[in-house]
Amino acid sequence: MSILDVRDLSVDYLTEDGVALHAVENLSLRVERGCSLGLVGESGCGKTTVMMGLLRLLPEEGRIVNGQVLFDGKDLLQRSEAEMRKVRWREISMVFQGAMNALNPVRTIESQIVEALLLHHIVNDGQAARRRAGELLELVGIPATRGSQYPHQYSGGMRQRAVIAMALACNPRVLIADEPTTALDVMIQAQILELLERLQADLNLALVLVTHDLGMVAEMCADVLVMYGGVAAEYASSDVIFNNPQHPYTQRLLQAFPDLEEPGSTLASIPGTPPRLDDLPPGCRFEPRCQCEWREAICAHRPPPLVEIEPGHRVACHWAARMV
Amino acid sequence: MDDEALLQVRDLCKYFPLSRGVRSLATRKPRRYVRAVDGVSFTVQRGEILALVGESGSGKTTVGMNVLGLQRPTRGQILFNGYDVSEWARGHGPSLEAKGGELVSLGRRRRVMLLRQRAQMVFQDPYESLNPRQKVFSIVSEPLEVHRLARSRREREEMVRASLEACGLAPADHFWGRYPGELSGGQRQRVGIAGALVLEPTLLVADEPVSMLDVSIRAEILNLLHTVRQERGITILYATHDLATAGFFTDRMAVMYLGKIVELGPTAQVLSKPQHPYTRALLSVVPVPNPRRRRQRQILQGEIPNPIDLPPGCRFHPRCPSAVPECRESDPPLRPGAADHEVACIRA
Amino acid sequence: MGVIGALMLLLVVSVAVFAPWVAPYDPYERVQVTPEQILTPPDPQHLLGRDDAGKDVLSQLIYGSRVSLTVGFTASFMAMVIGTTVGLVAGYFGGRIGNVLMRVVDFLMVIPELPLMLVIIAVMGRGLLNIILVIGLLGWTYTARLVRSQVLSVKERQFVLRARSVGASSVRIMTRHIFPQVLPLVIAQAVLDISVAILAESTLAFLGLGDPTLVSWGNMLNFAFERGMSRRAWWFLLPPGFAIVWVSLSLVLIGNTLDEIVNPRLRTHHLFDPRRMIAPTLAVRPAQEREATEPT
Repeated sequence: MSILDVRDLSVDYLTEDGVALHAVENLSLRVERGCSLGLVGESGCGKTTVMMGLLRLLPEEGRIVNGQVLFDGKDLLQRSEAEMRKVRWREISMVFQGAMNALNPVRTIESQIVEALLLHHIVNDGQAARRRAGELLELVGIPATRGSQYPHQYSGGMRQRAVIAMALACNPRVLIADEPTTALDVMIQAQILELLERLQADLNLALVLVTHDLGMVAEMCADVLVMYGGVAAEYASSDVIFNNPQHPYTQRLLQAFPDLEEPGSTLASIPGTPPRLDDLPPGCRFEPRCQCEWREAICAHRPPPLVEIEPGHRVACHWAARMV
Repeated sequence: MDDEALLQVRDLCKYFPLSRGVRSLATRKPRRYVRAVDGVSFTVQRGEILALVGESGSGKTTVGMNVLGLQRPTRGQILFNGYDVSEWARGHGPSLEAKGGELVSLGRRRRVMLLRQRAQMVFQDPYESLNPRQKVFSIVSEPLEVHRLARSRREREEMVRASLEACGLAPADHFWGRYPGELSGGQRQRVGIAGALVLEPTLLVADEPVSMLDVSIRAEILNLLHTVRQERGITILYATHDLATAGFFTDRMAVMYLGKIVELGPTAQVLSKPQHPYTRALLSVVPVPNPRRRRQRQILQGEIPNPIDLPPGCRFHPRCPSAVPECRESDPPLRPGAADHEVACIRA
Repeated sequence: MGVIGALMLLLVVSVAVFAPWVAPYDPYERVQVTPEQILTPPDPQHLLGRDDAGKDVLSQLIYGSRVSLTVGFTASFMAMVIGTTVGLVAGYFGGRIGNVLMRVVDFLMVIPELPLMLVIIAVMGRGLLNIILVIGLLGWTYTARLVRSQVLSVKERQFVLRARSVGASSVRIMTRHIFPQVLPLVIAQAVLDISVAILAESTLAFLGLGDPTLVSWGNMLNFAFERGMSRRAWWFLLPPGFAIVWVSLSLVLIGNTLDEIVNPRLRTHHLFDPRRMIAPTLAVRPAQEREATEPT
């Protein structure tokens, strides 16, 4: 049984006029123990919304209108808020987007980790907590003695490591990392990714990496789910996604990603913009920008279902499904 | 002096003084500086695209700002089209090297205006670099108003239209009545470029123009810049941390580390046969979108040191995988290696 | 809240503008009265009674609004103009100019305003113009400080750098780029300043330094205290006080609402990057749905 099994999750946002914007529709994904899943998409595709939804951390306007989130077999969406609090951070932990800039500036790093430990009753006295905080810092490559420093005394890369240490404080089984390396230098990015890889192996963590960076996903993730406009476009193993993509969006996205090892190739772009949530196309959401020569009338009228075209490879595209 | 060179930078240094606390004032400690740029020299030919690649703290943005005269160099020369721009930014008297005497007699304000007309900047943040309360038309026509280039409103409209449409925002009347907040990131960046191009500059400094855009629209903007160079022969200085995009459309590449250029050469050559250990490490960690090609990554440990307290000798040696004891002794200068490819390393 | 305040203010402004038509009597007319017509309590002919000179209090109240509002708006406007200019210059240029200007501001802020105003009026003489000048010339310091701190942060924004790189002059940058960002804050502050100015005028008049030729609420209070209160003529004392409170309250309500509008709180969840979330909803509509836009 997968440790995390999201089935047909749909999330709406209610605007001030009461209109429901369908931010995410019928999204399903599975994460196995100790494995890594990459959730790839551009800005506004709903990937952060999915993660917030499964942890039930949506803002006031957000509503989960459908679906199941099975964590170790039990549906999180049926749990009470009190039960959810025991799941968050202890079982499923998250490194939020821009978390490294959201550290409390007037408290030492150590005290922030200690807070998490004490709040979740991992340890019960201050001294044990501080010791454990030191261990966590060492785990992420920060000397324990630097725990008594403040966030502004840390560099960007170190702050991100500290945030990861905090996320691991309660020994979660799943770690969700939302854009863990934006705004960091290339070399530091590589360091952080290496760290995440090591942690995943050492702690048998299930890792969900949410990002727009295809290169990161290629290096880190076994499975990849490509999202577009709030729905899943393609879902397969990393090797298949990169070497045999079937969804036009995935194909174009790959072409838009510069590959230094193929210097002769040209950099493509996808003209147009992602769909407005209040103006979603009635059919396939990518259809307005799809330049596939096999485009047909059905693409604009009916949303394509996510179909398994070969074992372990699911695509939401009328044309790709037909090729089966 | 090379006649074809549009821009020649010689030994540019820009130091930012650190404010001193009472204690260091009292003990008369020498003032400390952030050496953002510490001795950078390069030449850019007319119509060339030079990439300035570096991570944070490398000084690439500072070089761009100094070249445009938006900051005053602490030391060094910046020769733009033969005129010493570094002197102009500092507001000193006649320039040291002037081609033709007429420019020398111009006042400082006039000289700066001339520079602004010839050299423009494309900014990184499409959300912050446009005034949210200015309509697109006003943003693009402002340079014309400032330099009084159009003789009538109609002429100005024509020039704005031409610029917007050249940047892919056609029809121009659909866009020029809007505010930046109504446009997407890619469109805003195009507006920014249109604003820079409306003056028909000869040099464009693009500081991370695509790093804040979605991957699928980066190519559009880069292709736009490339087209601009092809059609108008504009010289471009492209500052970025993204080796991959730099590899795609630049002619030459300068890799910077902590305020100095460590490698400089034709892009294809620097990428295929990197000579400096830093360049090699950087190339090895650039993410490649294919899981089958997992390379041996040389992940340098530690962080880029503080540009205030520089390591002795070669500034890269504490993190360098191929450092030897001699590296601590002196900071190697950029020396020519094979065919127009310069490296600053004693081991090269 | 702001709407209530606006309505309250609208009432006062209309009364002031239409005073000659609204007021039953003209308070500037000389009236011949008999002793029993002095300080009479409210009756159907004089809804708020009569003062110690036999004049109708209600009419005085209505005409008094003109003076108070004039002083309030004019002095506040003056303070806004001076304060904004000083703040812009000090903030944008910084360095020595900024330092000198800020020290001037500090100096003026430290001196207690009321005693200074008293001294100046006593020296310059009592007149409406003098009162306006005194209030305006001493009231700009807070605005200057506010504007300067705002300018310090606005000038670091990238669009200001763009304007510089294009060659815009300092004046142009300050007026076209920085000022519009600062304006909402200034207006919100100016509205509150009006209330302060009105109170200042009333205080001066109450202390006997108002313009004796004009009917103003402060003057009314002055006379009420000196001459009427001792005979318990509450109808003389309460109305001007009440009117001052009414106007001040309306301005404060408006000012606070403006302040809330000007400083928008984040409407999105703190864990969301607003730029990422709103990207799809800000996209330009596809071709078939575009309506024609007028060129500027």
